[in-house]
Order: sequence, then C-alpha cells, then structure tokens
Amino acid sequence: MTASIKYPRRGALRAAGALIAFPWLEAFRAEPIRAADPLAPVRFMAWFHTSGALMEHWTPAQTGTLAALGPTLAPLEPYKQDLLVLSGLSIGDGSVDVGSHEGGQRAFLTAHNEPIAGQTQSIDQIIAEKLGALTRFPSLQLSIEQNTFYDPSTDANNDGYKDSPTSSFNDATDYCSDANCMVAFNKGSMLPNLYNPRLVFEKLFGAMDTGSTVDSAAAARRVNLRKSVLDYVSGRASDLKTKVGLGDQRRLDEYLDGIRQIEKGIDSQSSPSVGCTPGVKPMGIPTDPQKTLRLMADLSVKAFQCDATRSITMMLGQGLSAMKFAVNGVTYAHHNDASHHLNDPVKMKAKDFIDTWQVAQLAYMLEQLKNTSEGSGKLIDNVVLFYSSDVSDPNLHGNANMPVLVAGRGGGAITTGRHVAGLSGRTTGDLFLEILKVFGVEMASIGRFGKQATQVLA
Amino acid sequence: MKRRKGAFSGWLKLCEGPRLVHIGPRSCAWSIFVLSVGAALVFGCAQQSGARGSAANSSMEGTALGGGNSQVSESGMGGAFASGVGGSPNGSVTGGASSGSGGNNSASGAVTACGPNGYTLRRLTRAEYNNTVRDIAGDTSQPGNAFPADVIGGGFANNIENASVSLIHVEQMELAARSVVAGAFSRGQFTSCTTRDCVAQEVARVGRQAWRRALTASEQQGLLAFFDNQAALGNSLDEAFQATLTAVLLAPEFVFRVDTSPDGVKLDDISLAGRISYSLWASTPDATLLTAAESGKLATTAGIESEVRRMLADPKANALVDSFASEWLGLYNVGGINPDPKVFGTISPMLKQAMRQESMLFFQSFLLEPKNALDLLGTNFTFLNDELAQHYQVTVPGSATLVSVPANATRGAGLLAQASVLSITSASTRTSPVKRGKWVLSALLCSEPPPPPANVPPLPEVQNGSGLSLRALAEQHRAAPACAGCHSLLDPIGFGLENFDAVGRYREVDNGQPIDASGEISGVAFDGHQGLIQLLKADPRFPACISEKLLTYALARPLNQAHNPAKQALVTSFAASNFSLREQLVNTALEPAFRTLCGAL
Repeated sequence: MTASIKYPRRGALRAAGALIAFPWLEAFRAEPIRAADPLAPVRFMAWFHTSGALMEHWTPAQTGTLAALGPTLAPLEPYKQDLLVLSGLSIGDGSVDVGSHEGGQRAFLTAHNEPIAGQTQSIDQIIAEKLGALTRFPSLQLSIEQNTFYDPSTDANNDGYKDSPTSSFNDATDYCSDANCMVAFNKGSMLPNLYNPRLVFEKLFGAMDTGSTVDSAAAARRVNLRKSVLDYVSGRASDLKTKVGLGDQRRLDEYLDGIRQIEKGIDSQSSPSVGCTPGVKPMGIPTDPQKTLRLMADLSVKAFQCDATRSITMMLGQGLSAMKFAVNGVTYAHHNDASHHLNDPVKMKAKDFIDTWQVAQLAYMLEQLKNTSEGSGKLIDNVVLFYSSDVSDPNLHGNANMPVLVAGRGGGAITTGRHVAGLSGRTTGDLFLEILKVFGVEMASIGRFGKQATQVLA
Repeated sequence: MKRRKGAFSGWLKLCEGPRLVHIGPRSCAWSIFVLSVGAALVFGCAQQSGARGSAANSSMEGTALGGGNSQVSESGMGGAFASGVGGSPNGSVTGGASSGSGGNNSASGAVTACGPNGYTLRRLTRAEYNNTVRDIAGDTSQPGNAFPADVIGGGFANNIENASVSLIHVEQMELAARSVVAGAFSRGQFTSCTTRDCVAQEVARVGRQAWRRALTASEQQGLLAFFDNQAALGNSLDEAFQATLTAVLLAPEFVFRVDTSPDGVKLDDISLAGRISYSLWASTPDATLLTAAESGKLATTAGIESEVRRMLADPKANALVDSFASEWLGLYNVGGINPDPKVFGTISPMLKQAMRQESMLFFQSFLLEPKNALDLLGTNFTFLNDELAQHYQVTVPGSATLVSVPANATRGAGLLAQASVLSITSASTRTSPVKRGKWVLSALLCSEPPPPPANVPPLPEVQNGSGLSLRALAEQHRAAPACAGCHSLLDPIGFGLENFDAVGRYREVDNGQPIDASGEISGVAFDGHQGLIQLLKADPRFPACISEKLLTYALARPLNQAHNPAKQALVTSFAASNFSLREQLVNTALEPAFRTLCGAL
C-alpha cells in the first residue's frame, strides 16, 4: 500500500451503483429479454426435490396437453397451465456412473458429477454471471434443511424458533456443512445456503449496518469509512496475489469476489428502495419446515419484485435428507427410512407422502408467483423454474428417467400446460443448454453431460 | 452403464447386480492392504470397489464417520470429498479419483507435499478465528461461529484443501472485524488514542499480533496514510482509528495464515511461529513466541523445544482437546446424535454433553499427565457425573460435574467403552457394527476401507419377533460374495462392541437373543470388547495412526507419499517416548519436515 490513498476504483463502482441501485421498475426498464411483458426481466429459479420419487406415481399417464397428473403431482392441479412436465431425461449420458445421490446432487445444476476446481459453474451461476451485474445480488442460495433440523434444546425461550442471536448458523449443529447440503457451484466451489429467513431478509433489505440513520451526514460518513476499509483490503489482497501460486490466487479471488459483493450491497443499501415493499422481517427459523419454506418463497417473490437478484436456488432438503416426517403415526427420516423403500408398500406410501409434501411446497411457490402482478401480466410469466432431484427412484439410486418439471413461461419462451415424454437418451444438461438460451446465453455444451440443447420448451 | 431395472425381490440380491467393474488404483491399493492383513479376501473387495470416478455411491448402511442422524450419508461424501485430495464440500472439487492419505491422485500426476493445488494460504477456521480474536482483542463472543461451518471430513477442520472462502465467509468476516474492533475499544483492549504517535504505536502493536509478524515500514506507512485520509475526511480520531484497525482485521494477512519460505521449502522463523502456535493453541502466536522468532531462537532445535514445552503448559493448549481430539474422534458429532426415544427413552442434551465431556476429559488427562497413549483404548479410570453414571448403570460419583472415577469392571474404560464413540457410530434405532468397524479402522488404525459400491440399500430394520439379531441379519448380508470382501473386515470388528447398545449402555441381550460379541480383526479372533481392545493395543498400526493424525493436524493438510519419511520418523520417536502424547507433540514440532512449507523436505 502506498502512502497516498486514491479512489479510482471506488469512483467507478459508485458510477455503476447509480445504474443498479434501483429496484426493477417500469420506469427504469432494464434490458428486455424476450418477456411476455417485453420490458420485464426473466428470472431463474432451481428447486431441488430430495431423494427422487416413485416415478410410476409421478409421471402423468398422457402426453401432449397436460391432463390428469400423477398422484404425486396432485398439489399442482391448480397450476397445470403454468407447468411443463418432462419425462425420460437422465442426469448422466451413460459414459460414467453418475454416482447415486451425491453425484446426482452435484450434477443437479452443473451436469457434471465431479465438478472441477476453478471451472465448474452451475446454471444458476452462469445466469447470475450474465444478469448479476444488474442486480444487487447475483444469486441467492436457500435451503430449509440443516444438518439437524429444529431441536427444542436450541430454543431457550420456546418461541418455536431456533435461537439465533447473530445469524442463522451460529452454533456447531445448525449449519449444514456437509457437501450434501449444496447445489450451486461457482468456479468449482460450492456456495453455502442461507437457512434463516431473517438473515435472508436482512441480506436483501438491509439491517447489515445497524448504525443510526438519524444524522444522515454521519451515516454517509460511516458508509464511506466502511467502503474505504474494503478498498484497502482489496488492495492488500491484490498485492498478495502477485506473490502466491495459482491455487492460492484462486482463494484470493474468492476473497476479492466477496469484498466486491459487500461493496455492491453497501452501494445499493445507501440508495432508496423505490417501488418495492420488503414487508415484515421474519423472526428466525420456524420449527415447522413448511413455515420456513413459505417464508423463503415469500422472500423470493420480494427479491424478484425489488430486483435484488434474478437467480435463486432452493433446496427442499439435501439429497441424503435426514428430515423427519410422520406418516400414519410412524416417524420416517426421509432418506434412511423412507427413500430406501425396498418395495415395502408401507414405506413406499411414506415416500409418496413426503414427495407430495415437497411438490405441495412448489405449489405454494407457484401460487405466489401467479398472484404477483408485474407489468401487464404476472410474475410467473417471467420466471423459469427448474424442479428436479438427485436420483430417480431412490430405491434404485439411478439417475435415469428423472423427475423433471419446468414452471413459468420464461418471458414467453416456454409453452406450458404440456407433458413431453420420450426424452430418454437426453440429459438434464441438454435441457440446461436450452434454458440458458432463454437468458441469452448460448453454450455448445455444459459440464460433462450437456452436449446438445433440447428443443422442448417452446 | 448398465442399470438395474424393475423391482428388487430381496435385499440379499442387492450386492450381486450387474456392474461395470474395472480394477483401478483404488482396488489395487485396497488389495495390497487386504493382503497385508492376511485375509484372503482380495477378490471380494477388489470386485466391489471398481475404479469409480468418485466415492459417490451407496452402501449397505451408513458408514460415514459422523454417525447419528446429523451426518448420515450412505457412503460418505466423507469418503469422496473429505479425503483431502478430491476436494472439499465447501470448497473446490477436482475431477478424477479421490484418494485417501495414500495420495494417488490420478488427475494431477506427480504427488507433491503441497498437494494438487499447491495451496499455502489457509483461511482461519471458525475455532482459530475465535481463539485469535480472543487472544489479540480479548473478544470472547466467538464471532467466527457465524461463518459457514468448517468441513471436517477426511482429516481436520484446518485442512488447507478445504479452506475456501465463500461470500458468506467474507460478509461475516467484515461484520466480525467491525464488532471485534468496537468491542476491543470499549473494553480498553485497544488503546483509544488522542495523538498520532499513539495511533502509530498501536497500529504497529495490533498489526504485529494480527498479522503474526511485524509490519513492514511501508505497511505501517500505508495504514497511517489510511488513518490520515479518514481523519481528513471529517471523521473523528476514534472513527478513523477504528476503521484503520478494522482494515487490519479484515486484511488477507489476518484472515488467512500466510506461510512464507525464502527458498520455497523451509519455513522462515516467523511462519514457523505461526505453524507452532496454530498447531498447539489453534490460535495466534503470543508476544513471547513472536519475539523468539524475531530473535532467532526458533532457528535452533533447543529453542523450538523450549517454546513448545512452554506452550503445552499453557491452558490454551486445551485447543488440542477442543479441536484435535474432537475432530479426530468425531466427538463434535455427539450433540447431533438422534437416538429414537421409543427405543432408548429421552437422551437429554445434558446427557449428550456429559457423553462428549467424558471423552474430552479423558483425552485431556493424557495430555496433562505422562500417560501411555495406548491406554486411550483401555485403562482403569474414566470421567463421569451422576447423570452419565446412571445412564451407564454404574456407581454414581455424587457430582453434577464430571469427575475422575475408577472403571467399572464389566464396562472397562477407554474410548471404546465411552457412550460418545459408541453412539456416534450407531443408527438411531440400533447399533451399527459396520460403522463401528469402520470407525475403528479409520480413526484408530488409519486403514479406511474403500467406499461401498452403488445400488446397495441399507440393512432392513430388525423385525421384532423375527428371532434374528442384528448380527444374524448382517451375517446374511455378508454372505453375498460382492459384499463379503469389505464387510468381512468391518463387521467382525464391530461385533466385538455389541455388548454396548446404540447409546452406549452395557447389555447382554439383543432382540431376545443373547449377545455374541465374538469377532475377528486382522485374521485374529477375539471375544468381546475387552478382547478387541487387547488386540488393538498390541497392533502397531494404532500408535502409528495416532502419530499420523497428530502430524496431519499439525501440518493442517492431508498427507501423501511425500510425507512418508516424516511419518515414519515420527512413528519411531513415538515409541521411543513411551507413547506419551505430550512428548509426541514435541517430537512433531521438532521433526524437520514440520518446519517446511508443505511438510516434506
């Protein structure tokens, strides 16, 4: 660091901040991407369904116009017209063993069962890379399953929320650190999820800086102080980068990326939030996973309305989910007890129950997207929601004939209300290539398994 | 890839499915191991572990080291991700086969001590961050707990391969830096200055502690210029000063441990001080150690030894219990165990804590006193409080806190008779001889079996009234040829612990059948846990494994072939020190490889 402090980079960032600070508004129409309302942005969501499903209860009997849904999909009956059911896709292309739950989960958004350090990008990240500069947060990663779910012993005041005075994951057992917990990859690194709706709210809408805002000059000075610190440390990291090897440079890049994200967050927080109302801040993590999910779904809608991000991943649990469900008076740990059903009809029933529960959470999400107006249409018109899992029938641990749904109309790119079958031999990676086109990203291949774009969305 | 289609007709067949089988590096390594322990099972296990790109597959039942419900995975990403070379759950993932401590990474060619990515920068772990701000700023709020949890599989949380940095890390570090500085000022730990000279002094003092070395003149100048600039912009002296120290605590020199070496191999003295300090205290060097490094004291063996002995006598060395032992033995998992209350009654959080404490205090006593580490497996004392003693149904010590007590004759004492270890290696409704066998092999003997093949679901639940004990079910499973190879090694070890139920209580009966705790390890038969313990204590792999774990933790990176010379030298010195843990910590710090950038000369 030299003796004189200059702010050229800061100035550039601030200039960019002026462009990106405002939420998406009709008055500030951002670049259009084939939208039904031609001026609304298209957003991406990926929802991870845990531990596959019994495909005989999932797959609709008829192809073409979506008629009767399989029993597992019953909760989606009101949203049939917003849905595209794709049958027969595999995760792998047959060249290698995808590797059961773990490989399937890693490939869920990457089309690669063994992501490569420094390289592999999941599609939510590819989309974030393309659109992230336009929003405050390139992407959000959410999940409702922690290593150990709610435990009353961590709820001292018995309010139904896990005690979390400072963050969602402030003790050794309530943050999922296992590789099984994550699906988003940025340059080969897994991106941790947020589990606490309160923290998601604070991330999106502020409260990171609790300094008083009464004296606006003092507040502005504090913001500048904070930014100067960030400027200083990124200078240090850039210096250090010149003295270390490639692997260490990658680590420092991760660090620098983080610093830049905080800078962007500060820039946008110091601008007014026009045209979007964050609503009530959630208290913490509810005891009931469904309540957690609903808070997360509501926050996803808010994030889109305020154009805080355009790419969100949501996990209904990890591939090897330990979440517990009571079915007919018996408690099942999802993965260990129910998913390995061994063709036991009682366990198969439990697995169906859990799958229908998961699908019902999607139904809630679609309901919110459908009830939210945007331009002349609804939010769901401008969303691409990819919904799939780590394996197919969990008893077999196979990664062929995957359960795959696409919801939303992607700004007019997707013709919903259909069931397309006969996709065996094609991979979810092939579908990713087609989804990416909706976002203006043309790629010849993706990961290990995506070789040629499907043509099923339109 | 052929896939099984249609329904299974029964679990016995599950191991016989058509599979593509290649005999690859892993199989070969495993075969050699099998031969070395004298079991004629080469074919079975080699067949089972065809060269797969990853360890991502399923198994007869969970064999993840974690145990309980908290970390259950069928095969353990534990295996694939955690074994160091393959990558990290929270971090980067390389393609190609993952390898264990053997380190045959097919994807990256030659094995160097620095590993495939050549990492030398190490983000502080949560515990290291907490301890470090405690020591430099008197901050005991443990702000590091807000960071994403560290990845522990395959070694220790300090494993450099897993030290990646996510956005959440940086966000939380920024919050933490601000709150640590504000707190240190309010407590008077950082001096509130009224003159610029005072600021200059304090920046140099805090900077040296935080960056674990004296600031260079230009660094000092840069920070003061930063301070001047902020003051000139209308901030108060305090505000500008706090921002300056916040910058010090968010700089990469603080949040990463930066090892430097003049010749690319040997650590310089100041980096060695950091290496020693983080390996013994999981924290930053104190002023004495920094001075020792700066004055050239660490250039001599005698100088290092006297510092290490001084540091081992400091209460901060308890980090070896809180981090090393907890991660080595998996004790951090005890809080996450989830025994079914219908089977075991309620296991209260207090009881879980006592279980964990028993093992922690037990291990600590081996650090504090000149004991033989082989006795970790079997000795004549343990630590109990009333609640845990009642759980064990042994004499109650009349104390709510854990106190040292003589061992109960039937239970015995030692790690394998402690509820912590016994419960983290059990399922929620029953014991798991497989997990227990795997724990013994991987934690105590450093002989981890390969991950199991795909498409094998877990054991069915024990049917009450079926008249089949868990052992009988497992033996049926093992009868399948494809499963036999590995399970013939795992299960008979676990069976030896069948007298302990899934929450560590002693028992004589399982599902109406008398317990048969006979087993076999390395081809030698034994009966009951006492027999198993005798054999393990006599097994040279046990002290070698302790020594290897200590070295892995001290170097904070996964070991590979390049570390073999150091590993072997330390096995010899461990024996020469009568297997004293304390002496072995000194030996490790004195090992020339410990004083190198990546742990090999």
